[in-house]
Amino acid sequence: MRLVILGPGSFLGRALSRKASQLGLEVLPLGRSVLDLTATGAGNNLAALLRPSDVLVFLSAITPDKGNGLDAFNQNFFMGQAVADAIARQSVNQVVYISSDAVYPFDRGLVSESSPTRADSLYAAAHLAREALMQASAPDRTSILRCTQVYGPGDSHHSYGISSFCRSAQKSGEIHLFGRGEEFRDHVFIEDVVEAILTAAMEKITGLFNVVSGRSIRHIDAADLIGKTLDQAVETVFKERKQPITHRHYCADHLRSSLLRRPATPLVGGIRAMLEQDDS
Amino acid sequence: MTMPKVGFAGMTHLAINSLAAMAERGFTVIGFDPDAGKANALTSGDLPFSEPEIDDYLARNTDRILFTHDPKALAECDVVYVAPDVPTDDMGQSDLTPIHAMIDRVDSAMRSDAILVVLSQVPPGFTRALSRSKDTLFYQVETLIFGRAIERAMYPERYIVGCAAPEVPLPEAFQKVLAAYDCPILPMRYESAELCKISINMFLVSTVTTTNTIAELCEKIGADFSEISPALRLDRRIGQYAYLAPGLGISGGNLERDLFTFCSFADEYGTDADTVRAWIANSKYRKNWPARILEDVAPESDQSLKIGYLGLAYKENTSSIKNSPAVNALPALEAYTLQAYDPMVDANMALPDNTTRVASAMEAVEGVDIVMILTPWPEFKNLSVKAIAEAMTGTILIDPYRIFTAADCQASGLQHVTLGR
Repeated sequence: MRLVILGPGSFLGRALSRKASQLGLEVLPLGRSVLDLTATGAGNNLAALLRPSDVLVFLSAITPDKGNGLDAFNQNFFMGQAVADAIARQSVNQVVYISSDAVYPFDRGLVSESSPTRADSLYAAAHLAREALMQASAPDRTSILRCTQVYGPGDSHHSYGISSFCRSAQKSGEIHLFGRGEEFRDHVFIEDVVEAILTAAMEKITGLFNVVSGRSIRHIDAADLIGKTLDQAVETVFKERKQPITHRHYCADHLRSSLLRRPATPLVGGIRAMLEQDDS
Repeated sequence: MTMPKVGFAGMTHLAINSLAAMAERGFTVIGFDPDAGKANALTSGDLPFSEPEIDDYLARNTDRILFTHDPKALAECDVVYVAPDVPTDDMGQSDLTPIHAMIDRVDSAMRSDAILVVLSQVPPGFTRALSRSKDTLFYQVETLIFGRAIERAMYPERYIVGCAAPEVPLPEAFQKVLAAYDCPILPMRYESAELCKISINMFLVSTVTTTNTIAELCEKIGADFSEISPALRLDRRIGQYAYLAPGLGISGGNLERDLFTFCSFADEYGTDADTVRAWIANSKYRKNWPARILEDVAPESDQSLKIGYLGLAYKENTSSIKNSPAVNALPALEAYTLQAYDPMVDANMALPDNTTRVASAMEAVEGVDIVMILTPWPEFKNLSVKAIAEAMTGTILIDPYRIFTAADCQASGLQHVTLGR
């Protein structure tokens, strides 16, 4: 089995490549410099590199912090088209598509894999379209992993969440929160996501999975936890809220019985790992 | 008319308990099963299940009871109840083949003027579609509760009887049988009776699901459902007998079967069953509570955690593990080491590699970090919390059914984790 990773330079891609190599798996990283999935002929070029026994992990995406308009949507969609085209030309053993919890609307208390989706943003629309493309291209051979906010050492994203809170706390002794930080959010540690991906690939487990911790926390409480873990004074600065308060809670039962057969890394453990890594 | 002779076809849990109650009420009864081994075992007093008092009932009425595998014996009967089990798959879909086979066998053996009563759980339309003459064909709703079967058979709250013509008085023999129980008799059309059984179970499930849904929120917001439930019982619209104990989803097979049947009919006829599907989804969700609560109480545990696992059956006083929450939770607990005890579930039941079956509750709790009580067996109430605490190395007692009180646990240094609080 060879793991072909599209998007190897991303936060998740780097962690996945590292772990896969540690496990002795053959890895083929295909970053933008090697293969631009938005370029004409990308599907053909990708197909030429694939083997029937490959597990194709499709991570590449323009994330909202890098663009959330029509241009980003188009690029994301073209990437999906290219991958679907490639699989049509050269079949692979399995496709593991890394999607996002952005596909779920905010108007539901507890989200599970059977919850309805809705494209409330172009980013969500692109993911839903790409999920459909993967399933159509590789029916019965596709694993769709919808990840909530992923955090951990090496996280380069600037999105509002644990990673940026930790960086800010270490750098300036401050964590900035919108409103009073009332919203609940789920955060999943990078190593848990990597384990889920590798389990899906190595055991050929297909289907739909929400990759979540199942334990949401309010931002204000997360900030408090970071302060306690850092063991230094961290000031929480409250900024004017620009969006209404929404909450995210996930049921992790399906993940727990399939791809991650152990408790998720507790937030305090993940935060500790982040702060220690960034310290060193 | 002399006392009617009553036959039961298909020696199931339902039939044997009904037969025992019928004999206790003074009727001569014949218990037929095509399996000679089963019939012979019953004749020897060897029951395939355990129910409180059933042995006594059978023992003191032996002169009125005949177990046989010869269908010709049914020719003596004035009323024959057909009560084989109706198997279901994992979704709750019924397999009606066995009951059809039994009815065909019985129909040809009994007298044409004798009354055939379908007692098994069947979907609406089943009885009317049978070929037997409709004035000798009836459907009767059963209300078996495992662990209380004899009580339910002896003292029914009412008889719900499906008829071709509800306005016509019941045949004399059948009327005599039902009247012996001194409870209201409610004749109605076949489909109403068949749906009535499903309706009863749907109301039970709705109460159970509402209870569980509220109890879950109680756990998050600092409420205690045990403080709320007495107030609910005093509301006449809810009632003192409502099922208001939080639990781990529906199990056993019968409730699930009825929900599946309802959804199937709703899909076929285009009626709304989203509420029913929500109950089914909630039940599935509830069954994973043991794994979720472990993460709550021991979030940073490593995989050497040892758990004393009390209970495997889906409820107390039964050996059935059908849709049991205790069994359902096992795959999600494979990271831990489990010592499991159940007083009645088959000792040869296959268990995952991380789970060892032990011979007693105290053996199960010996040296464990956490105790989980997932079937509310009455014998667990007789255990000493102090002894449990002393046997454990850890201090967490997960007790969804409140076998013990928080106060008793606290006094013994244990953290008591339960549903609804």
